[in-house]
Amino acid sequence: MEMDLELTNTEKKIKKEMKHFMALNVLSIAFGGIALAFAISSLTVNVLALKSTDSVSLLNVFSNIGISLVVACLALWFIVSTAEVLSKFDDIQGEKNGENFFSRETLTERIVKLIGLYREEKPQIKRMILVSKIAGICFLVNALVQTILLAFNLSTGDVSVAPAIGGILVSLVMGIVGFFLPSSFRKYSVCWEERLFRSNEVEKQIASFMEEPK
Amino acid sequence: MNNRRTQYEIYWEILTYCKTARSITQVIQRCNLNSKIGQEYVDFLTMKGYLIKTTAGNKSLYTTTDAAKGYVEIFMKLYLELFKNSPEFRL
Repeated sequence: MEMDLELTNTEKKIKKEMKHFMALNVLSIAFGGIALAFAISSLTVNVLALKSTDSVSLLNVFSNIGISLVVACLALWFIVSTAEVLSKFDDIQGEKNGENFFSRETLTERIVKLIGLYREEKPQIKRMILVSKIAGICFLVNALVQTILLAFNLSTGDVSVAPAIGGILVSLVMGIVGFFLPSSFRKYSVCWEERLFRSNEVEKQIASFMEEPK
Repeated sequence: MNNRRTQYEIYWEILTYCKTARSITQVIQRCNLNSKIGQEYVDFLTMKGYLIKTTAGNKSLYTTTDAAKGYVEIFMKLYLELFKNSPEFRL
């Protein structure tokens, strides 16, 4: 009876964690998609501006194109990386979805596979934490610059307020998400690092069990 | 899925899978191992007495023995405890 209750709790914990990790990955893909859309839109605007720009502003336009290209590449890499993690995670999740009740064996199998997934994707997750944090900082800086420009243009009376505020809000939201993602990935990392650490101890116990004379 | 698994995790996977008699090809496919490594693991488990080799027709089949029950049980107990006693991930 007590064992059944323990199993149910572990099952609930696994299912809940998997649901949260799935949500985190979906959010990351959406974040990467919006960042990519921003980069492509900026790229298009600046490439079109090449025709009409005088030689003085040409350097500015080229630097904008360069930055947009870098951002587009990083966003694309971020989407692909997240999709890879998600696909492997989905393999684990999909295998036993039909079952209403997990046996001890099924639960252990999931734990083994989730530890394996973390071992395999650890470097990728670390890179994703770094990239999304940098993206978050860039979006917040962008929101700040746009706010300063809006304030400056308001004083000169040369501004259409609605699109400017829209742009600031989008950048602000993306900046906040850009900080939320790495912090959530870090929480995931901390949980699994601890499990990995404990698994070394478990490994020693299993090794000594195997060495015991029968 | 080619996870980075420890040898003990692979042993457990093989022993659980071989509760019913399996050929080496089935073990290799299920546990996602290459044939050389897969054979090494199976040989080790056979040598430990955790697997028994039988022949059906011209096929060699491997089945988990009662001697492996202790290993399978301790493995599950330790891994379930490991998960249960660690902090929970939430967004």
